[in-house]
Amino acid sequence: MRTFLIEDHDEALTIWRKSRVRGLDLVHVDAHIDLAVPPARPLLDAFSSATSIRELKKSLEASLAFSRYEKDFDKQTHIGNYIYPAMAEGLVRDAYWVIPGNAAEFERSRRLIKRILKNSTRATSIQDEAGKVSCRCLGRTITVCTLAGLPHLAKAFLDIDADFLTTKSVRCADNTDEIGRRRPWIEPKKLIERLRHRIRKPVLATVAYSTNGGFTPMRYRHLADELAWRLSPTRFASRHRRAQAAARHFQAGQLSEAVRLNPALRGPDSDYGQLYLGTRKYQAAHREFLKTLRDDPMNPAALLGLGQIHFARKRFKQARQCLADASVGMDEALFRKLKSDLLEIRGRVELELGDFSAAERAFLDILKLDKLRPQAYYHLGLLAQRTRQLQEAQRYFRSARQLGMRGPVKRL
Amino acid sequence: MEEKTIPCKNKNIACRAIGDETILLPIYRSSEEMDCIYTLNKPAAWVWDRIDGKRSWGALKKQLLKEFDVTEGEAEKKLQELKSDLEKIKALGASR
Repeated sequence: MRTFLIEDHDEALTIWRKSRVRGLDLVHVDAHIDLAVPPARPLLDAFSSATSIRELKKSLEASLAFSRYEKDFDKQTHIGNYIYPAMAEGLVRDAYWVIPGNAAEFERSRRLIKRILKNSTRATSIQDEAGKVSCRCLGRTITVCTLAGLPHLAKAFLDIDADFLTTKSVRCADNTDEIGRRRPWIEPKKLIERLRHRIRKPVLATVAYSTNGGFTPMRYRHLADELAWRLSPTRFASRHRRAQAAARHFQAGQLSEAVRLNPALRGPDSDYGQLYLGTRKYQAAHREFLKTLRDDPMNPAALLGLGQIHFARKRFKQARQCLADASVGMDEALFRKLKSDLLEIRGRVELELGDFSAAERAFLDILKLDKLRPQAYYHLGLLAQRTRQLQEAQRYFRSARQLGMRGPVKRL
Repeated sequence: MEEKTIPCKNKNIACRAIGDETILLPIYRSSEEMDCIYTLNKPAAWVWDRIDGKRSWGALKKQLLKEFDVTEGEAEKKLQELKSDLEKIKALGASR
């Protein structure tokens, strides 16, 4: 079977397109549905598919706002919605979302599953059946079930997220749930055996690490390598061996050795700092960042994290120093995706310290990297407001709102 | 209103019904300019459905009088209003 190991789950869409998958059933093994309807789409699509005036207005607004900044609708594809375009393009026939846990866990999660299904697909009716829930979307059936509830399929393609192994229920699938306490609830070997039993002819498989954002804890990253190896042993044998050896060092706290064997373990989510920051547990986050910096003193992600903590605690000068240190390694491939975060926090620090031109430079630099980032427009608006350029401020706030930044802008 | 004039729909206006509402979406403008969609009330939607490039405003008025309980003066006024609104949003193409 052709197996592809990918970093982030949305890379699967590119692989399916390149592999010319067409009209096949998809078995999506994941703690997350990844099937949200993208907010923006070509205007006539938005116009013809809305089921109510409210939905039409919302959809047209999102589509118009998006198309003012970007022509390529694929740019809004992310880990939470990449299955939708695959269904819209006819790559996927029916989809099976296999969720973690057993039948009892399914029943406990049933209400939540229905809510997720409704919110993601905007389906008007959800079918409740024994051991499964289903709905229709884009003329296809989407069924949610457990591994045991997956029907026998003749031909399908597999899409596995390693976070399935370490998230025991959809009820705790947010990356900030159970920080530091996630453990595998099923072994890769067992998962693949069960899938092989259910799918007679798997055509292609994508396996995502999903360590970015902390969905799969870094200490279990190697489980994705094992899944790939079990699906295509010859192709992934040496990679699997190396990943396992690195994981042993990582779990023993020997970061340098682990990184020597597997450089990916140095990535932005090598500790739980960002997750703790997301829940405003600054002390725990601080501990995590310092732990990383002990082994890796110039780790840009940890330095950025420290800068964010200083900022939250209004220690702006210390924040400025940490961010300056973090920017040194920010061009390395592993950390490049943090550059917008770094620029945003740097801009906010400079704004607080009264260096308006440095703040403006930082926010404008974000737009060079990501012109769809509403926070950049919002902070440019704040900056313009401070410097009494009120018309300019209004323009930036409008852009922020149109691009999906609701909360702070609504109050103005 | 010139009764012999035959109104045509602008091809760059998309129309669909959602529930009881008839919605018009201008697709000819750039996304910079496009900031509205339009809804038609029931009589306006009824007339819009019958604008087919064959019927004249006079014929539409006659049908309107048959279908709705209105006087000729009222029908003419309503049609004039609708024509002017549709022209304003460029929903009508070149008349014949």
